[in-house]
Order: sequence, then C-alpha cells, then structure tokens
Amino acid sequence: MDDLQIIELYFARDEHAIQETAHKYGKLCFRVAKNLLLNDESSEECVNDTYMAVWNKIPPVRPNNFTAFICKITRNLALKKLESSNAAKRSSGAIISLSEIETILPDNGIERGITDAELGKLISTFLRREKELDRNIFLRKYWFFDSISDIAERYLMNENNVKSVLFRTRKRLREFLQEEGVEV
Amino acid sequence: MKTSGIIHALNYIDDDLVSGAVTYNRRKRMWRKNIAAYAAAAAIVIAFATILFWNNCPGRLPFTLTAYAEGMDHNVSAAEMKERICLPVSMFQADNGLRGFVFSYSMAGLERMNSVAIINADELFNGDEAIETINGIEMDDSRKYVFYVPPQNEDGPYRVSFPVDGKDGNTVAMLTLLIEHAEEGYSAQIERVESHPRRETPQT
Repeated sequence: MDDLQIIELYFARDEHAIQETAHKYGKLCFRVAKNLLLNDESSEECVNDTYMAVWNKIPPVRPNNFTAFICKITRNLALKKLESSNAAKRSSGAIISLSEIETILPDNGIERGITDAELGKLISTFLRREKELDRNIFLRKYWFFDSISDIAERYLMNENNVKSVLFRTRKRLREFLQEEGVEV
Repeated sequence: MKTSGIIHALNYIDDDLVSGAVTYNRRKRMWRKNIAAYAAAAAIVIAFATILFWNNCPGRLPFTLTAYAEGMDHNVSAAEMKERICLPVSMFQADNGLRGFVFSYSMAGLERMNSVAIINADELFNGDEAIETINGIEMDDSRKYVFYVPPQNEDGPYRVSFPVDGKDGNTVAMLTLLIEHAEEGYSAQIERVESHPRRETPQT
C-alpha cells in the first residue's frame, strides 16, 4: 500500500492504518529505535509509541513525506528515552556518534543564538551541497545512528573510508556553520 | 544523559533528506541483485553498437596523428591518436627556448622537408621563433610537426585546433585536441574532427 493510501486510512480513522504502517515501516522504525536504545524491549516500546503518536497526529496533520514523518517521531521518542535512561551510560554507537557531533557545536541554543529549527535548516542547506553518498553517510551515522560497519556494508565501502568521509563532512559542516555566523 | 542540541536540530532537517537516506541504500542493493541482468544487457548493447559501428562507420580517421610523451625513464614514446581516446603527452623543450606539447602527422604529396608549426597560445607567432630541433624527438622529414605552447598562466585543460592533411592527399581535417592534467602529467585526446575536401589554391 502506498503512503497516500495509508494516510487516507488514518483520516478515515480506520485501524488498518496502523497495521499497514507496521507492515511497511515497522522494521525501519525498530532499527531507528534500536540504534539508540540498544535493547529489543525498549525499541519495541518506542515503535508502539510511534504508532500511537502517528494515530494521534493524523488527522489533522497530513504529512507530505510519510517516511520522514514517522522516522522523525521514532527518533524523537527514542532520544527522549535515551535521555531519561540510566542504561545510556553504557558505551554504544549512539553515544560515540553524539560525542563526535558535539565537537561541531555546543549544545546550548541560547549561547549560540539560534534555535534548533534554524540550525536544522542550515544543516539541510549544507547537506544539499554535499555529494549524495557523503550526505547519506552523514545522515545514516548522525540521524539514524547506524554503526560504521553497518554503513560500510550498506554502501559497499571499507570502514576507514566511512570514517574519513564522516571526518571531512563534520569539518566542512563546522566551517559552513561558522561562515553562516553560528558561533562554534 | 543529555544529548547535544545539534542532535535535536537534526530532527528539523528537510524531510526529503531523511527519506533519501532511507531509499539510497536500496538502489545500491538493487544494483547488486540485478548485476547479472545488467551485465547481460550491457553485453548485448555493446555487441550491437560494435556491429553498428563497423557496418556504418565512415572509416578510420583520415589521417594519422602522433602524440609524444616522455616516460619516467626519460624515454620518449610516440603513439597514434584515436578519436576520444586519451594518451599521455609531455611538454618538450625546443631549440628556440619554447616549451610545449608535440604532435605530428604524415605530409601529403611530395613534400619531404619536415616543418614545425608553432601554436603559441599566449603570443602571435613570429618568424624568429622557428624551431629546428626538439629535445628528445628525432624528427622525420616525411612528417609535419605541431608544437603547441599552452597559455602560461592557466592550469588547463587546454584546447587547440589545427588542420591536418588527410592520408589520401585530398582532404584536410580540422582537429580539436583536448589536453588535460592526468595523474602523472598530461593526457591528450582528439575531441573533434571536421574533414573537408582539399581545395586547390587558385592561380593568380
């Protein structure tokens, strides 16, 4: 079933909407959650919370891009769970990703004088200028929190190449944000 | 644990970037799964194109243009150029102090005196710059040489056009060569060829 049809089910308040969403996006959402939360139980919980959130948002929201819509909800929920979880003290790929990306920008929005939404827009502008492969490697690491080895396997690269791409992209992002007047 | 603001800011990036990162992988996997089918299709297309080429090709280039390159061992090699195939080329020093790329072609007719046409991208040619010898190249009386001096303040790529006599003596081809930086020096290829029948100069 395509996304438009699934959205129509939500508008019709047809519970098959959730079944269809689970069928099409269940694995993706679970992967997004598990990359952050590491364990299956928390990840399943996060995915179920996602379905609930989507049911509550649609309608009135009619997402233009259902894939991104549902992934963003899952990611947000997983990040909130991570922030409140004591288990996050264990080392994980997500923690490593977070520490790498924090080197680009301090996390205090007031200090840097820019909101998260404004910063997100700037990062979008930056990413559009990047080569497609570099852009997607960056997103798979810092948005989806895939591991280096997963990214290398996905894009048929070796892990050192993935690390090089990420290092150079972070550097260019930092330079770009400085040029745009964001204090780093 | 506290997560970075930039991590949260990433949630505000454009939706198509996120969905693009989801689907980008699948195209790669589709390529891998269908590689046998793609290879077979490519083989058929290549075979068809080859048959078409040999049946319909107007013939090989109507001239023979030779490019010169100096190897790491300082030996100079000469290679026949084909349209759109890159060959290594080097710059050579001429006896008049100019430094440039060297090409040559067989002269039509009964002329048997080698001559060197100088194409100097930065300056107009003047008679004082005539070249008698080029370091490293043993010049052949039956060939005409083209000595191209690229613009001094440009890194390239360079394009140079000049006429070349056809093998049959009845045509003149206007060639455009493209010279670019390559891994270990320069490479050149014939970018364009326009053949014209040779016209006799009217007697005045």
